[in-house]
Amino acid sequence: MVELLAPAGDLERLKIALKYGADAVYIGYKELSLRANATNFTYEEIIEAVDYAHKLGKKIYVTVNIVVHNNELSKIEDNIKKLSEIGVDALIISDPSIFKYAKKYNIEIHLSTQASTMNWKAAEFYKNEGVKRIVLARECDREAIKDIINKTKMDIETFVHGAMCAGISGRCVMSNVLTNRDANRGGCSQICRWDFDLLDENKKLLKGEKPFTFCSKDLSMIEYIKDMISIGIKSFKIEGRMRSSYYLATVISIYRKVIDNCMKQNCDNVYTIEDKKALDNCANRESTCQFYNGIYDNSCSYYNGRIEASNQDFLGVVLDYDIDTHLATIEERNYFKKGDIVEIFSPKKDIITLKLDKIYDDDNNLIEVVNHPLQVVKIYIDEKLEKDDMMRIKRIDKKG
Amino acid sequence: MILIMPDNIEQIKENINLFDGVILSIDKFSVNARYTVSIDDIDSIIKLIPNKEIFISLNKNIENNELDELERILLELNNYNIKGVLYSDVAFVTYKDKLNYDLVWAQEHLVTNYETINYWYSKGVNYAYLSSDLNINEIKDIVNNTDVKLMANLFGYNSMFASKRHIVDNYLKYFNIKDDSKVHYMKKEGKVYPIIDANYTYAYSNNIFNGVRDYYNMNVDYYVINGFLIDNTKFSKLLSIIGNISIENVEKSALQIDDMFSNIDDGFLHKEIVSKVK
Repeated sequence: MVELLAPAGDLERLKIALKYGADAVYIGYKELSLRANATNFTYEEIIEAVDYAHKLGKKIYVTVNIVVHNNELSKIEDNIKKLSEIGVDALIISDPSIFKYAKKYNIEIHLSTQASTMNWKAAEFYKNEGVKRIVLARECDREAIKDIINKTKMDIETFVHGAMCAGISGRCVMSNVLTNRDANRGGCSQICRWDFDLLDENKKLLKGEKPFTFCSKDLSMIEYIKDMISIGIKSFKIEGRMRSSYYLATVISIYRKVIDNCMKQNCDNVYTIEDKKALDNCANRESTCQFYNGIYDNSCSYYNGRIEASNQDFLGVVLDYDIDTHLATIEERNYFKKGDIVEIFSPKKDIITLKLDKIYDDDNNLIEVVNHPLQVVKIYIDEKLEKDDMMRIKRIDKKG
Repeated sequence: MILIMPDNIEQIKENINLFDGVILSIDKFSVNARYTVSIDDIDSIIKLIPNKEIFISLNKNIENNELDELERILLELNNYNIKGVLYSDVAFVTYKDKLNYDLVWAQEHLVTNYETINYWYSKGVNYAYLSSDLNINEIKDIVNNTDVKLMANLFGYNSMFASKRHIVDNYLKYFNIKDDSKVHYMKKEGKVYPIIDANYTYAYSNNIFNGVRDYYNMNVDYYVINGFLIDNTKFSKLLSIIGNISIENVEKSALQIDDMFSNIDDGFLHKEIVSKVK
């Protein structure tokens, strides 16, 4: 059994993540988490999240991955005690001085990728310290991962999709130096995506066609899931507690399908070209397998001059479906119009493609365009839809 | 104690009477240093500076296929009169019982509180190298709450980024730019940041860190003077000033050092802790 682990920045996204196929969700706790920009959970929200997930037979992990400074030490034990009382399934910890509290209050310890574990000796050390699972350093390649699994027999979690730090996790304070925001305590201002002039040792400009940057392409492991399962990786982690519901639904549903296909015997076609395109489109950034194949040359770098178009594929979310009238109520997220070819995807059904022939407004008047933020409209569709199904534009491949 | 991290052998040879010890970086297993030596060179350097404390920096994150060689090096270092090894990778702690020297917990930017320093102390790690992004109150607080011997930067360019990726080399190759520079710089809004792409890629602060004003406030066991990109003549003068520092002349000494360089600041020593942003 392998696990699909998804992020969530709030309860709404957590519910979407679980609905679209995540086995577990990792969340931040306002008191103790990195990613301060994400909408971290309050204690009360975590109670609700745990209750919701456990009723579905799924799990909640809470990140406690700040790089701790002296003034934060005093609040750690109390907060971990509180988390233990509500049945959180594991803590994702980077600082080993926190282990003792997790052990004291009997919460499973997952070692954060911030600890940069890259070899089996280090993994073994942590195993002896009571760590149940390690989120390996993103720099590990396939052979390293396999070796660590074989030698330690530990649960290993690796990232499968999302943005990548250019540097080693936790070892970057560029944000602190350039913008006075602490990257190791949730303030990362993504300096690695900035453009710079590159100068030689005589401080003479070295000019390429695009500016110098640290920027990496995103990670996408869709092509490698079968292989990753075969070497014994236990949990596949999707990056991005700040991502939108649409992003989460798209990425989770595709990886859910791929993992399920991989678990079937004699299934060679575990993903389709359309799946890959949908993943590429929802982040609008190029992706690679990064370090997994041992090649981390400039094919992993992203030199595009920071031109990243915002994603407008996501058209709307289904609020309701009337089985008698065959009208689906849709809440708009991006402009769409009569005649558009759209796709509707959902957690458990195949993708439905349709042409928008009839769109109705609130008063049941036929309209041509939907262009107001969060505008609620109705569309005619024969197939029954469910709440939280999502509608996106169907991208037409120009190559035909 | 004054430790130097030399940028070349001359920074050792020319200043023998101006420091108490050296941090040496080793080919292949050290990062965040331009000047590295082989294991075989260590003996001759020790002979050059008898009675000095020698620390060896093996601060790379270790990969599975490097573990055997690492163990061989660690055991070989038992044969030299060294004080300790700076490490970043937790695997080092698993070798502790086989070593006749100390370990220095030196995970850049992660050595930020006394609880974790004491955690490693309980595992037999007797030294810690403080993160460069601490302020003076945090340093004092750590000093007051641990028995671990502490190192802290006193002078030099502070590293601000580490990557296994060859960030500069990748760019040069991608755009077919021919250049053999041993150090590069990246420039943004008039500020110039050194960057080296060797074993790992390391980027540094635009300003040189001068912590001399807080020499007595820090009150750590070891002050590290980093010679990276520092002209050798200035490096000698700098060590001479620091060697004569006293409570009475600390401000004057700091000013003298400020005046030697055009780009200098006191890093994070007097910045409010940059905490979470909304």
